[in-house]
Amino acid sequence: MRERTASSPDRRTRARDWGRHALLLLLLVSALLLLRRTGYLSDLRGRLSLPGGPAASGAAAETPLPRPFSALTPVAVTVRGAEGGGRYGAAYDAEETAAVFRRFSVDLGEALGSAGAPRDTDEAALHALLERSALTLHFACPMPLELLSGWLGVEMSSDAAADAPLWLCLSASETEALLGYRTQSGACRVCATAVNPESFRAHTAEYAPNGTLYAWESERLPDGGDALLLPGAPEAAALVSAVPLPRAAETDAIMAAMGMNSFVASSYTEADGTMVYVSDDNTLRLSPDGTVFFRRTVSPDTAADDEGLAAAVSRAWQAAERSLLPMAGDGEMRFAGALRVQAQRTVTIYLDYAADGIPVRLASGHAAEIVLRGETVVQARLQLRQFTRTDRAAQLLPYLQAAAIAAHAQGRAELIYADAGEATACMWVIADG
Amino acid sequence: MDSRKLERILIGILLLLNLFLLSAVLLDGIQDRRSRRETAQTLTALLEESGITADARALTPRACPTKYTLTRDLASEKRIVSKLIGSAEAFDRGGNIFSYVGTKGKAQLRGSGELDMLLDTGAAPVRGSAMRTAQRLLRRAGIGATPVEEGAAADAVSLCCTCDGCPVYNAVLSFDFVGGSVRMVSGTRLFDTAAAEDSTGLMDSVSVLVRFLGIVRDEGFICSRIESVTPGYLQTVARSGEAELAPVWRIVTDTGVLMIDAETGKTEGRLS
Repeated sequence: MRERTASSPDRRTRARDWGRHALLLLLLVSALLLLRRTGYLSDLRGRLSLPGGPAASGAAAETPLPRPFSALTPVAVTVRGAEGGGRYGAAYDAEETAAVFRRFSVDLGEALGSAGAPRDTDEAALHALLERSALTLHFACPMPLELLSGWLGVEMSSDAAADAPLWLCLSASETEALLGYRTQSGACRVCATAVNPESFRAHTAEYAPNGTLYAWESERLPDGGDALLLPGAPEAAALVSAVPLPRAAETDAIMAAMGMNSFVASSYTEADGTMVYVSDDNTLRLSPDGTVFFRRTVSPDTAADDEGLAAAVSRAWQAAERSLLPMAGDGEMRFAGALRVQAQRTVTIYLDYAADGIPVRLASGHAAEIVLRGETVVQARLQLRQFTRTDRAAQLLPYLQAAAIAAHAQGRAELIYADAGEATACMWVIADG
Repeated sequence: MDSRKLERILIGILLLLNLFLLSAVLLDGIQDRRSRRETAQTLTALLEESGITADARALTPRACPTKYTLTRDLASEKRIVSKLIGSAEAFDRGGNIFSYVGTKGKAQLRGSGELDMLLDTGAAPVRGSAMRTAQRLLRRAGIGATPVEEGAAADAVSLCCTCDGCPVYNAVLSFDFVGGSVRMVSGTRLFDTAAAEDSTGLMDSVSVLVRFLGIVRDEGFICSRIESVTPGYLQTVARSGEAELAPVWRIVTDTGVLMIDAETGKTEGRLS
């Protein structure tokens, strides 16, 4: 009996203890839930800058290389919705051509990525492609298809990747979609693709004709070849250019873009006013005429595999974006060419200025010539320019007249801003071919 | 100090804390309801000035959905496809076009998000209604979707993919039925990996109604009643395998449907 009565108080005590513990736990959980509901917890987290949320991770995310569409935007585009229908065209209009390029970027990427082996054909066959539902892109410089495909996010395995046409077209009938282009040497080529013709034709049908013709299909200039004849004359604003004087922050940005540490760089001025910055094995020279030379004396012995042309252009673009574009005013930048030197394991990327979709041609060469070895800029030549759009309109010949003059000279008409340092003029010029 | 005494003190403190937090939550709730009521009254007055009435639910303030960037993940894609057509083998056709051959059918998926799938007869038999069968299939594959049209035909239904429960209006999957089973699935799907983008400054439902009034005034859109205001998305594929989900507001009126971009305020599509 004594043992039984002695154990009852123990059991009651234990029960009370358990009850207290359970109540404590319940009140604690309830307080946390209510705290979360009121939002005080996230405020506190914010003030203490604690990581929160499901996406928190220890490693910082890698910033992807830039691939802006503007870098490869064509100078002119045409779209034909249906066989026998008219053609929509846009030229030297950054907004319109960029919009069409973006609209068809996925179709184009699919075409390039799935392109079969190119087969040689003739001009008549290429023209026949343009009679169907078709998209045509005209570039200011030969566009390596390897670069275009990489920029659009696809890998190109076809031999066509080695070609760099000035214009290319994607054309679809009811059953097939073909990629056609003319190489720099004048050869006409066609590749089969796996683009869905129905889907592509639906996209081309979105564009209403605006009277655009190719010279070969016009009655007024049948010998004009592939010259694009839009109605009327191009519209361009008069442009003023100047050589900007970089301030300290802009000079630091140029050095950083080339991979130099501006904090440890020493500098001196040469007799002609050129500022020279030296840091480790790097030398940067900034001339009064706006020319920047950069050289890395000891180049990295990069044994890394070639990342591809798209990666090289992205890196060069990144360097130019940080150095030239901030001072360019109303100017933009465009891809203008690439040169691989296998023996030196380098690739040189050329970039040019443009304004409102019209290429700017500098008297002293390209806006940027950036030599890369692997990921590193080993040499660069940059031309600083600042462009200002005015309210005055440039007086230009209509497309038809310009094409007729170019055809007479057995060339092709190109619209450019010619920049001679002190004066900038918008004009038609005659280029070869 | 006796541990029991300490526990009693802690219980007392936690009780007080709970009471304080509960009162804060209740107060927030009351203020929120009051704010919603005032907002609804203000919006009703604004709409009535333009001769428009609105369903009460359309005036309930709602936050804008988050903007996302979607990327294609081939491993996830293969898993999803395998759940629909059986254990699948992938074939790269180039241009980010992948064909899949499974034990119960075959499929082709593109970098644009387009999908074409052919299922073997009897691989996905109809159980219940056609719509329920389609929904079940997508649920099995982990794809959220909502019916596009109520009362769809017995041999063809369409569903809109969803993100965070909101419909993506141009990501529609259509199911065709033959002989009592799903035969074809085609349309546009959402890519596999989502990364949230900065969504500050996007219009909530109140701002979009004010913007709607601007459209009525400036662009001559005519209506007399707003039936609903619902959030959703439009998918834009800029590059093969990469897409943006842009939040939009779908305003259903008695004369048609208007979709307003939550970032730019532009109308995305108009049906009159």
